[in-house]
Amino acid sequence: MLGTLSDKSKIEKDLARKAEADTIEEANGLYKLMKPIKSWRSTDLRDVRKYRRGRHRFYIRGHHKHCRYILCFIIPSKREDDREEELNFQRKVLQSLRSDKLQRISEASA
Amino acid sequence: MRKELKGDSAPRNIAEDRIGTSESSWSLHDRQAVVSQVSERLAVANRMKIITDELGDLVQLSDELGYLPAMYGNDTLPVPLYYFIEVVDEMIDHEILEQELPSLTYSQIGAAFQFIRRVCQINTLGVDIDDVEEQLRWEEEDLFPGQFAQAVKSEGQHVLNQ
Repeated sequence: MLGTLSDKSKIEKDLARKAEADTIEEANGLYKLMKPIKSWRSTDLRDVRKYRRGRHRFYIRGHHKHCRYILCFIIPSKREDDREEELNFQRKVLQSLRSDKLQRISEASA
Repeated sequence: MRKELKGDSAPRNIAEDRIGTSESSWSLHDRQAVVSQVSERLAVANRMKIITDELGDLVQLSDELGYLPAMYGNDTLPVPLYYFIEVVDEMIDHEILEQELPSLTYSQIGAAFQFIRRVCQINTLGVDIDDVEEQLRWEEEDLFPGQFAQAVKSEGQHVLNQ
């Protein structure tokens, strides 16, 4: 089940299946399900959108026309009590965006 | 923080832009827009109330939460219906649903859950729960349904007092 965060392959598969429905010509999957974040003021974050699956939240940059999505950040469901709190979330997203290194989804969520 | 909350529609933005200003400065157009928006929310809430009545109030609409549909657990804390849907969405394998409903795409099934969740977030106070959550999440270390319901409640008071 997706609810168990240890099963990251489920999350990865969910994102991949939705992303693959998008094409250069048309958004039919992930792009349509992502929502812009109106409260963010930073111009660097303007193109970051939020996708939800259950209580999990995924912050993703990219456009269907570019054929590439970058998963910037994940806030998993708070079922794991020992998960570290992210006290300065936007700073971390910015850091992630400025990093050239692309991470696999499983690495980004670690 | 609260003044940064934005709704999805122009009428609500008009209303919120007026926060902090005297009501006497509102134009007729502004007043009409606000009344129209409130009227729409009340109509939805009224329809939902008929449904909850039919269900014997197992799902409740309380005034203090802006008629946000919720269930009250044995700890007396509300579990909003949208949160319930989130949990269901998280637990259900969409590929199983895809097999049961082969005419639908995987993305449509995901969109269906998001739609239901958004419908369950409709409240008469016009609070955009996702916006509230987005902002509170970074200010509060922990956010769970009870606290969130409280946030909805306080946001509502803020709006209604204008």
